[in-house]
Amino acid sequence: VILEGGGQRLTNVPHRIECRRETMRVLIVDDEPLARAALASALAERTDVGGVDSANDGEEAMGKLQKQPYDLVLLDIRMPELWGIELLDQMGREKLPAVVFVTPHHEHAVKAVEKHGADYVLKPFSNDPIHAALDVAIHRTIAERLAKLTELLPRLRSLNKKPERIAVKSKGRIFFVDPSEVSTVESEGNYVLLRQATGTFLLRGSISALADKLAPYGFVRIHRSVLVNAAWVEEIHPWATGEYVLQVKAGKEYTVSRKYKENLKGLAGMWIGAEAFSAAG
Amino acid sequence: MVLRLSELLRTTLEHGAADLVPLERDLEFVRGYLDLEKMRLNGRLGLRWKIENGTGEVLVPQLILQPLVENAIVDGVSCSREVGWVEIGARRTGNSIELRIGNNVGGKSPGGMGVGSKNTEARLKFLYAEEHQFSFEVDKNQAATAKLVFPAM
Repeated sequence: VILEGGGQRLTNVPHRIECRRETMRVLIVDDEPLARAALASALAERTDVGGVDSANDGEEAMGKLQKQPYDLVLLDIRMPELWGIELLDQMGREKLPAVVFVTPHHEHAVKAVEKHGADYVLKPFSNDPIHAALDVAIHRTIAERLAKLTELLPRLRSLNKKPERIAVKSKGRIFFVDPSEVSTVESEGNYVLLRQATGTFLLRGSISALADKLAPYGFVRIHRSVLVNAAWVEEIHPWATGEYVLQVKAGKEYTVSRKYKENLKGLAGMWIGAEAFSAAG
Repeated sequence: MVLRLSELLRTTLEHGAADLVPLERDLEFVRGYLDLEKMRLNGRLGLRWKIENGTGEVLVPQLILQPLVENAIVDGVSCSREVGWVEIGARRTGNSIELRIGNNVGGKSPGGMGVGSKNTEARLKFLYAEEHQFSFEVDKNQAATAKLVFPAM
């Protein structure tokens, strides 16, 4: 039996959930008052719903979930903000209520949710799908929910991930760069150039400070004054002198200085037929 | 003509926020712009290109040339009844690059630094601080020249 009012813990997991007699407590988590009202009015029609609470944001929802158990959470997985998913993640597994995702018309989100069989309701609402989703969600076993959510969480997380970008403050302004679009970073005198296919940003400062910061984004230092984006390197040409020259997509060639030769290993996860090179020191 | 115009617009959109582009790309843009002006001026525009070899790859502030070329045309060719000329030059000088935009001065006396020129000055200062020069002069033969010098990268 699902979490009867008292908040009994569902420790023995594979319980069938049956709500024939008992009524459910439902928590609506959505920051749009209109959406909350629409969901609440749909819930009010149901005889199997005993109480409805709502929370405006993740923090409030978390507080409510900790205070008392809910049988069902209607959760807005709003795209730009992660909190819907964070919330699920933080929720103790043993307290896991049924979750129905409420999504705006976001194709990717809907696809992912559809593909993985989570229950979801599309915004704007119409009542039938809400009831259908609620029916399914409520009758899922805890084990099924857990399995579903465990599978779903990382995917939703990646779905939610905005394209990674870095903010650069330079010359009194801050601009944003998608590091995957930067082919190389080069120092030229007092300047550092951030090269992209569409143009180059000009910064002041030293390349060393950037080298560490950009390393997690796949930038490899090949010269005192050059970092290359590993993803942009097309070919490596070994020279008879023991030096290497890198050919960068849609760009120039760069000589790898002896000191940074070791870093070339970072250009690929695996080397085939280049053992000697990958072992080069 | 519409096609040309749309190409120009596309270029300005594609370049986006970046500071610098290869000189070659900025010249392409200017060529597109000049094609339009040639149509407008109906053959009264003569062009001289003095682009030194090897300068095409040097990075310059994007869309740096066009306002100056436009100035040259507005102050020079278009207010003259004669055939006017515009000269566009680029060369390396040590670690710097020098861009020159020259024109014959039309009927009226030269306007000197217009709003466009002030913007150019401000952009160069923003990018290169004191490491730039920007000058404008008119010689005895009624030829005006805007000259920009900044680090060649």
